[in-house]
Amino acid sequence: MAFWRYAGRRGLHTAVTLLLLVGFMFVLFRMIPGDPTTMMLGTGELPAEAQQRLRVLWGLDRPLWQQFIAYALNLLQGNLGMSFYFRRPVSEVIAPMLANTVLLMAPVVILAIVIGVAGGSWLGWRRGGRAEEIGAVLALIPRALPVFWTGIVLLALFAYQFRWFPIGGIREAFFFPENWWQRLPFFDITRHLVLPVATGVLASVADPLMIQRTALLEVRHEDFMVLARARGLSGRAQRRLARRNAILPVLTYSAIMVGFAFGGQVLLEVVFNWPGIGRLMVDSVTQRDYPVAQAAFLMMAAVVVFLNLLVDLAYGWLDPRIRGG
Amino acid sequence: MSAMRVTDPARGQGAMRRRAVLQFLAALGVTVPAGMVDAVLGAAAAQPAPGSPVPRLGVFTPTWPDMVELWRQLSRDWAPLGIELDIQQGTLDTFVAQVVAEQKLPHMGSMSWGGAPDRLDPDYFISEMFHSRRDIKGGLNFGHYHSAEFDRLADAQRAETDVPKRQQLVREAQRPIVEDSPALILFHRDIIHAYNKARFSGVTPIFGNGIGFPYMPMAYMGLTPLTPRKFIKITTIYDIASLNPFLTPEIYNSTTLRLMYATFVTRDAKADLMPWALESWSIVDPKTVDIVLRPGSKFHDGKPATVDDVKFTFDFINKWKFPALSRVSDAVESAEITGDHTVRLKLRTVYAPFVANVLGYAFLAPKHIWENLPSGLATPADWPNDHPVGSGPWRYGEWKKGEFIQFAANPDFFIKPKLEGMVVMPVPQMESMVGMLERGDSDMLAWNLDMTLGARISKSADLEVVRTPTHGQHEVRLNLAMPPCDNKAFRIALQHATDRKKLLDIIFSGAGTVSQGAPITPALTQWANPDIQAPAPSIDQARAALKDGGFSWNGEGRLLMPAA
Amino acid sequence: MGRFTLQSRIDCGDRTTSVALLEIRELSIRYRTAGAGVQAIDGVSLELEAGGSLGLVGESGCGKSTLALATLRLLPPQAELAGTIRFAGQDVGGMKERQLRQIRWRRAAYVPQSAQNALVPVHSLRAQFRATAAAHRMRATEADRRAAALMRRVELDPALLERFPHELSGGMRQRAIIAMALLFEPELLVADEPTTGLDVIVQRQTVNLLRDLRAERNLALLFISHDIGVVAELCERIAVLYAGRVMETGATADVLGSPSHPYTIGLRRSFPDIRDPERPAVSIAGHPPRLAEALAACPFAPRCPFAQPVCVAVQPPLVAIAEGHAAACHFAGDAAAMRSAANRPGLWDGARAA
Repeated sequence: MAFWRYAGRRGLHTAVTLLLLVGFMFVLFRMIPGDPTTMMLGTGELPAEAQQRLRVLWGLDRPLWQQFIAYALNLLQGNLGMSFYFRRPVSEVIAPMLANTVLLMAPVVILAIVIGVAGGSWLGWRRGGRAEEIGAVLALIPRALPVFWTGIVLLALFAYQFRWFPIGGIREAFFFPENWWQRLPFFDITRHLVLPVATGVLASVADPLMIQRTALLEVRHEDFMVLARARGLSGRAQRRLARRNAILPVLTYSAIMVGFAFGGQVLLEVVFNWPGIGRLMVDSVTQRDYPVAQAAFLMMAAVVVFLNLLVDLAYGWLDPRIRGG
Repeated sequence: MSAMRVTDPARGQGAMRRRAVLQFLAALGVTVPAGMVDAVLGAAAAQPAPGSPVPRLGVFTPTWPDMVELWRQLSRDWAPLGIELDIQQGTLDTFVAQVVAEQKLPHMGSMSWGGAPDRLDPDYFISEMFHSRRDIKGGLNFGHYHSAEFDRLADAQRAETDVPKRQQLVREAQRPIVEDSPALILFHRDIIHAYNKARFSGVTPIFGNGIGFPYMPMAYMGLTPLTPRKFIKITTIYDIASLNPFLTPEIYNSTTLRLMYATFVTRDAKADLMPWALESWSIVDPKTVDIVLRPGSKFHDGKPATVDDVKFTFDFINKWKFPALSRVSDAVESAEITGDHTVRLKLRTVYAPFVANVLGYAFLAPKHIWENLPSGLATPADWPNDHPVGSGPWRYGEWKKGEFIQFAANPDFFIKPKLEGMVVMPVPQMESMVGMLERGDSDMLAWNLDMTLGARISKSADLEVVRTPTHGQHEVRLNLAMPPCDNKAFRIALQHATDRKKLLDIIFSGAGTVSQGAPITPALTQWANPDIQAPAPSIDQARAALKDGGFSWNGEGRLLMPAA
Repeated sequence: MGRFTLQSRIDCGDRTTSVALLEIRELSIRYRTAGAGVQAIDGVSLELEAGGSLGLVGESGCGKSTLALATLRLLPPQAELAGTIRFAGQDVGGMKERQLRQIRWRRAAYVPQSAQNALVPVHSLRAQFRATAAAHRMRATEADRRAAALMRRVELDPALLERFPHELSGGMRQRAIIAMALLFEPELLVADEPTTGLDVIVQRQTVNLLRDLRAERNLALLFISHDIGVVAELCERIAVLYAGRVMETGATADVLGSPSHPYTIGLRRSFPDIRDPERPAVSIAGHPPRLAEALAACPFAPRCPFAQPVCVAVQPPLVAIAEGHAAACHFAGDAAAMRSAANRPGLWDGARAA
């Protein structure tokens, strides 16, 4: 029951954090100079009266605190409001872009963590060897390069030079399969996923990898690892044991990684013309589409906060020492 | 003297409070020029004393590569005048937010204006950019030009429906602009599009539209497939935001929707006005226009289009006063059915560009759909309109946001498209667009190419690059409320120090038309004034103009304000 | 070098076998480091019979733990071994990891120094019993059955098998490890300071447990401790280590009854004497040498109250002074004199006797 008290306290923290975020976000976007009516309409093409009509229609003529109360009340009912720019419920605007982002980022995050944990464990196990030095450098290089650059290089090579993969987009507008394997379900989407996923993984694999490597190095010197050898555990079983005990830092990190993945990767989306949430977020800030911008950032923040909560609770599951105390 | 310096955006007083926000936004790729605001406020406060050195001149420019190149050239070319520039870069939304909405232009700023079809009528570039009435927040006269003479001519041309008389007034109105020099209008850069000529023929380059923009739907009517694939794939930068034609005034979105919702008139291949949903129109008197609906017109759902729909359209717009269609409700007072196909429009004021900018912008809306909208909407503009039904040459197929919008040909339209359909794909990157065209993933590139990419595309045997002149323009606006730009001699000197031809050559490889100094391109012969000429490029004449204006230079060659 | 191998053999009737269970000869262990390296063990030879018990004593840093780990080849890769280690006649030093796994735990189990962290913190005891069993192809059901029995044997409730290490006290953890060590009925138990860090009562329980287990299971014990008293209780034979070398070895009663090396004499005096509880415990001044440094010919010479110039110049060989009792001291023959001098107050305070 200590666990439930702990879970309850963490849940309360989470709720307060989110509440503060809502307020912060509301104020933040309104601090950017520029009026949504002006921004949306382009370079001052609307007469002032027409613009004023829009402001009334969108509730922007009311005092800020009234706007906030209306926004907060709607939010409590799960209503994110109407997008200024798209004039649709924000949820309808965000949902398809979020789906696209998840389609792209889910494999990126999963592969980055799996490869990172496996690679980091491998490097940690081979501490001091030449392979470890080379491996660490190889993993760090793509991290240091801009995503944009990596993406363009992959495109130049595999889309322009070899023409194995498409230049961008999520699927071909009208795809006509020419043979049986092109007729496989998801062939077209998979083909479009390869390069952006590869770019995303290259850019994000280094962090989980280095974290896992460091954690593994620490675990290796623990007494229980010596005893594991003494107990006659096989090399594989020993490595698995080390991995299992070194996983917690990566788990914490992956919560943040997943959260940011929900925000999409703007540059990745631009290079590969992927209609995801990242571009939507940037566009909505540019267009001063406060409802969409707030909702998108709030969602991203909420995911980070909730995943942190989840990780904290999962810690108890993965590390029984935390569960008790 | 090194004249070019880019201000650190975090510098300056008052920036502290917003710095955290700015950094946060910068991390997201959004640039907000705190430095620009501060520089403006700081500069405005500092009135240079007579005889003192001319202050560093604040310049605001968008971050686009052509603008960066422009200021690299200008700061070099203007250095012999003894002035220094303080160049701040910002994104377009910054420009709109600060310069247009807040009217906070530093000493000067550069901008390029697109060749929207409603800007083909000279009224836009004359009245919007330089009339004193538009020197308000949100107006485009952000350089604060005030001239009673010009205002009179601009108002007169707008109210003159007799074309030859109006032509005279428009030409006259351009003279004060050249003489007073409130702006350095530089050149009109050509629209450069490209397409796959092995797959399609019959492209129609139209002035101000090129072959690929949706502004003038006639551009697509001649497209003919040469291969078994009967639909064309077009790439462009933007995506639409909505399928509701009453919602957005943004040009790309509104013209794309008007491929489905036929406007009453349009522009033909020569960019002259031609009836579209209408069969004809006639000006009965300056405030009365009769419009005749094309007989046999049908909406995409098969229902006939009648004068009831025409009247409904105007009544509907007047009832709801849609911001996006304010120019229609501002112009049309009433619409009365006067015959089987005829509707008489009564105008509120005399408005010379009525046919071009109102009938060319308003579209025929099906009454049976828009009068039966679900209740609970604040305005019909909020209706998603997920299955647009219009009477235009293209029917709605499918829109996947961020991916494509697809149209099918409407065989009932009076000009039958030769294609079976079109797919327009938004691609945010120029390189990708070019790559898609080269790989054959797309058939037409409908965004402004530069000459380098154009030359690369031309190397491909199947691809053709098409250059089309336009009335869009690049300009440097001077803030006439701020010394020394309030001094006419100084402005004339800048004109002399600016070699338009050279700039066009350097920035756009000469692909365009050099301006005469007026906001109407010389290529638009009907409206351009053949008798005016921008001051000749000459540093000597520039320095002479400054000297005549009382300016002088100190020992270091720095320009000094005129003595009292 | 002039050292001779000590035959550590206990004549105890039928338990004597011709082949020693554990036989260490001329073992040297060197840790590679960034600098010159550390000589942790220098030419040590030891033997342990099946069912026998050998205590390794010495101050911390003398190489006891290194020696214990070396017997099962559990040292990290930067440790270099020279000499031979034989377990039941097989050369452990030359074995591949796969062969070592046949011996480890199945025939020779290891109870580590710090029970704190020796159990995997994220697995329950049962999971660790099962993983150990699985490593040697024993079924989980059999492992469970044995685990329960062994838990009872070490006087732990088998219900504790579901617990995680942090939920147990230090003594319980130590007993759980001992239980686990018995999973395959090994012939040898290497116990490295198993009582360190436990309170006195629990220490006592653990010592009693080990003594009883040895008696009932014919278990050979290599027992490492700095606590002479505990060793005296548990082990038939003893080896005193100093700076990686054997200083004195023999039957426990001989070595502790009549210590013949000044270090043993000092060490002996630093623990309370059960027979003479009034005598104050006096520790030897100074510290054991740091093994990265070059050693004196006799490594104890710098701290030895009886040291002579010869001690610094010539390395004293391990010489027999009685049957099965040997010491590495030039003056081992004068041991009786040294023993009587040892009670002199202030002798061990650091000033050399000479």
